[in-house]
Amino acid sequence: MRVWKRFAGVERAAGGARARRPRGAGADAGFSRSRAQVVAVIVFGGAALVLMRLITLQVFQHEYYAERARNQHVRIVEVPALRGTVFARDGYPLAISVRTESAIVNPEEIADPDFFASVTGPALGMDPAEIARELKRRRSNEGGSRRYYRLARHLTEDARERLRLLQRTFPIHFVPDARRDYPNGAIGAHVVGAIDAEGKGNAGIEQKLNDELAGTPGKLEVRAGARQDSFSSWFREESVPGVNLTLSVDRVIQYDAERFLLEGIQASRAESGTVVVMDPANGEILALANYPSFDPRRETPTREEAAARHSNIAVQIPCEPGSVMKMITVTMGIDTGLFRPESVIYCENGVFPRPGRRPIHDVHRYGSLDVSQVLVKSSNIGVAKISLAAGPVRLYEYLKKFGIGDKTGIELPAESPGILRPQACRDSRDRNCWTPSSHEYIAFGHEVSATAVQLARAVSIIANGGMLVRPHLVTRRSRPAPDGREIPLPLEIEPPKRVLRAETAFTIRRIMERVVLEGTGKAAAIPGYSAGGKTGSAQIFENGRWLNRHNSSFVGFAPVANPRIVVVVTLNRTPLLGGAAAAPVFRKVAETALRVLQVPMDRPETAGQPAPEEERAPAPEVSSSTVLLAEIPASPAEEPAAALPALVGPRVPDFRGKPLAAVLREAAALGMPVETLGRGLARAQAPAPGAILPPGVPVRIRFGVAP
Amino acid sequence: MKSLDALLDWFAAGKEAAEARGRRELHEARLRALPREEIFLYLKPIDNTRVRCLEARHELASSAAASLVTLALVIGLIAALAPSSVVLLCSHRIEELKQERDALLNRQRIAISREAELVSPPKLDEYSAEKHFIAPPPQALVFVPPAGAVASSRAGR
Repeated sequence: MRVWKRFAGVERAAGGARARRPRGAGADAGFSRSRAQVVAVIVFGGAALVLMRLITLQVFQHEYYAERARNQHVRIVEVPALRGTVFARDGYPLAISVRTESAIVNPEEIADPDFFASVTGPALGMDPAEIARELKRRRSNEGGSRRYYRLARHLTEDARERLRLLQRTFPIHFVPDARRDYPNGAIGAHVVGAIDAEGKGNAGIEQKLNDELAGTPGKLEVRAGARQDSFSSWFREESVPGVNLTLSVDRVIQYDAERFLLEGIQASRAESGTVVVMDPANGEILALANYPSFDPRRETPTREEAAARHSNIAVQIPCEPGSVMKMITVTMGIDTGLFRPESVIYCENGVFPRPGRRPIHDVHRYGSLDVSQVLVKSSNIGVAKISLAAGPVRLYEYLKKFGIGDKTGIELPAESPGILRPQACRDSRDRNCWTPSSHEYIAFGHEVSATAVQLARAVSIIANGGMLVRPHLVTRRSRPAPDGREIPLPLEIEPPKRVLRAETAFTIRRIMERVVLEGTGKAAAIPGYSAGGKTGSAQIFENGRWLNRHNSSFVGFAPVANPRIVVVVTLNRTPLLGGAAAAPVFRKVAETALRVLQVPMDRPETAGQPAPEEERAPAPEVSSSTVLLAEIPASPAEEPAAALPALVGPRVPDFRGKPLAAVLREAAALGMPVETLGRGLARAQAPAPGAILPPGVPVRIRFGVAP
Repeated sequence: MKSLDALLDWFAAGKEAAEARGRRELHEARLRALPREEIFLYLKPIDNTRVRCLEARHELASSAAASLVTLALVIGLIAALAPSSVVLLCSHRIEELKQERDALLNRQRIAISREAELVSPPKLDEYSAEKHFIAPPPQALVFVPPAGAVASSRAGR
C-alpha cells in the first residue's frame, strides 16, 4: 500500500509537470503517441493474460480450487453416537453408556511441564511427577503423540470445575467422551462382553452386535480460518444412538450360576467349566456362566483376564460329551420304532468283543438290561448295540436333528459348530468321514464334540416335546427417541421346528427322571421338584496316554412334567465324574432358577432328597485299559464333607394361641417352613419361641380345639 | 523487486521537486499585504419582546407527515425483522433446552446405572451377609399369585 501511494504521488507530480509544459514539436508528439500505443498494447496484453488466467482458474478449474479451499477451511468432525444400552430380563441395565468429558493438552503448548504438573496433578488427584514425565517424553518425541496428551478421562464434576479454573492459565481443552458402565460388575461378563479403548466391542454381545449397539456417528461441520482456528460449527447430520437390547438373562440366576460354578470347580478340582440355563420352550438363555471369567470394567485387563475374555467356553470350546450322547442314541432307538423302553438288550457282562478292534467295556458287568435301564445305568455296550441296530445313517440323521455339528446361531462371537464328521465318505481317500466302527463309539459320545449351548439345545428337544429351538439372548430391540421414549424395532426369532415325535420325547423324559432318582445322577435331585437328566464323563487323552482327568457333564431339566428350565453343567479336567462333580452344581443352579421363575413344586415339600450316590474316578490302572468309560457309582468317602450351616436365621415367634391361618401367614412372612398337626388353635410348638431357626428346619406346631 | 523499488524512488524524487516548487510559490503569496488588517468588535442589545411567532401550518403538517412516515417505517422495519428475531431467540432457547434435556438424560442414565449397581445380586448378597439374612429354603416359599388370578377355597364349599 505504501508503495502504491508513493507511485500515485509521483504520477500526480508528473501530471502537473506535463500541464505546465509548453506545446512543442510534432515529432515529439508522434513519438510519444507511438510510445503510448506500445504501452497500451503491453498493458492490454498483460490484462488479457491475467483475464485468461482468471477464466482458467474461476471457470475451468473452479471445482478443483473450490474443493481445495473447502478442504482447508471446512472440516467434518465425527461425533460419536451414544452406545445402546443392554438390559437384563428384569429391566435393569447390564451395560449402559454415559456421556463424560476428558481433559487433553498439547504438550508443545506447555511452557513448563513441571509447573503445569505441580498444579494440575493435585487438582486431578494424580501424581504430578507422572504427568511431567509423560509431557516431557512426548515433547522430546520419545513416544506417543507430540501434540496430544490425554490428561484425564471421564472427569467428575468437581475435577472439571477445578480444571475449568485452571484453563485461564494453561491451555487445557475438554473433549466429549463416553464411559461404558457395567453396574453388575463381572456378572454375565461372557454374555454382555466388554469394549476396548476405542469403544468397539471385543467380547460377548458387545462384539457380536457391535454395529447395532454403536449407532451412527453424527457429522459436525467446522469452519476454520487460515490459522485453522474454528469460528463456526453446526451439525450436518445428527448422531443416531445405538439400539437398546433386552436380553433374556436373569441377573439372579446368572449370579447364582456363576457362584455355584465356582464352588463346583473348587470342590471338584477342575480347571474350567461352564453352566448354561435355558428355557426349553423358546430357547431363551437365562444364564450363561464360564470359569475363568473376567471383569469388563477393567480397561487394561491382566493377561489371564484377556485370555478369559476371548474364551467363552459355552459357545467356543466344544468337548466330548461322553455319556450325555447316550440320550440321543436311546432316543433314536425308540423314535425309529426299533426299540421300546422295555426292550431287552444283552450287555455282554461288561465286555463286548468287536472283530478286529478293541472290545467295548462297561464299568459294571451287566447282563440283560431293558432300554430304559441302559440309559439309567449308562451302559456303553447297550447303546452301542442300539446304534448297530439302527445303522450309521440313522444315527447321523438323529445327531443332525438334535443340532450336533451345527451352530446354534446364538448372538455370541466365534461360535463353534462342534465336531461331527460327515457320515458318508466322498471317495476312498476321504479320511474325514466316519469309519465302519464310528457309529458304535459316537453312540456313547466319542469321536464327536459339542458345546454346552449345543447340548442345551439338544436336551431342550426332549424337554419341550420334540421341538428344535434356537438358543438366543436378545428378546427385545428398541431405539431411544430424543425425548427419552423407546421405539420398538422388529425382532426375528426363528420359530421352533418339530424334529421328534412328542410321545418319544415324553418317554425319554421319564427315563431321564429315573437317572436322577435311581441312576448316576442322584446328586442332581432337587427338593420339592422332579428333575431328569444325564451324566457324562469323557476321559482326557493327552500326550499319548489317558489321564485321570475328565470333562464331566450333567444335562438336565426340571420339573419333569412341564420342564421350565434346561441346565447344562460341564467341568473340565476334573478327577471326578459327572455325577459327583457336575450333578450337585445342576441341583443348586436349578433350585435357584425354579425359585426365581416361581415354578410351583410338583413334589411333596417334605419329601426328602434321595441321598446322592457319589461317584469316584476310576483308578489309573483301570482307566488305562478301559478306553470307554461309563458312569461309576463312587464311595461317599470321596466327596468333601458338607459344611455345617451357620446357626443364623430368624427367631421363632410365639405361635401359641393363634389360629392356623394366622400362623401360616406369619410364618410365610418370615420365610419359615411349618409343619402343622391337628386343628383349632396352636397349643405347642418346637423350636420354642425366641429360638434361632436353623436353615431347612421346619417349625412343628400342634393345634388343638379349646376345652 | 529491487529494480521496482529503484523505479519508484526515481518517481518519488520527481514528486519531491514538484512539492518544493509549490512551497516556494506559496511563500511568495503570503508576503503580499492584506487590505484591512484591523478587526473591531461591537456589542448590540436585541429586543425580542415584540417578536411574534408566525403560524406555519404547512410546515407543521409536513413535519407531522415526516414523523408519521418515520414511525411507519420504523414499525414496518420492526414488523419485518421481528419474526426472524423471534425465530433466532427461540432457536437459541430450543438449543439451550436441548442441551439441558441431554444433560438431564445423561444424569438419568447415571442414576439408573447407580440404582442397578445398588440392587445387583452381589451387592444384595453383601447386604444380606451384613444383616445376617438367610435365603429361605424352597419349602418355605409361598409364591404370590399373579395379578388377576382367582383363588378358590375348599372350606367355603
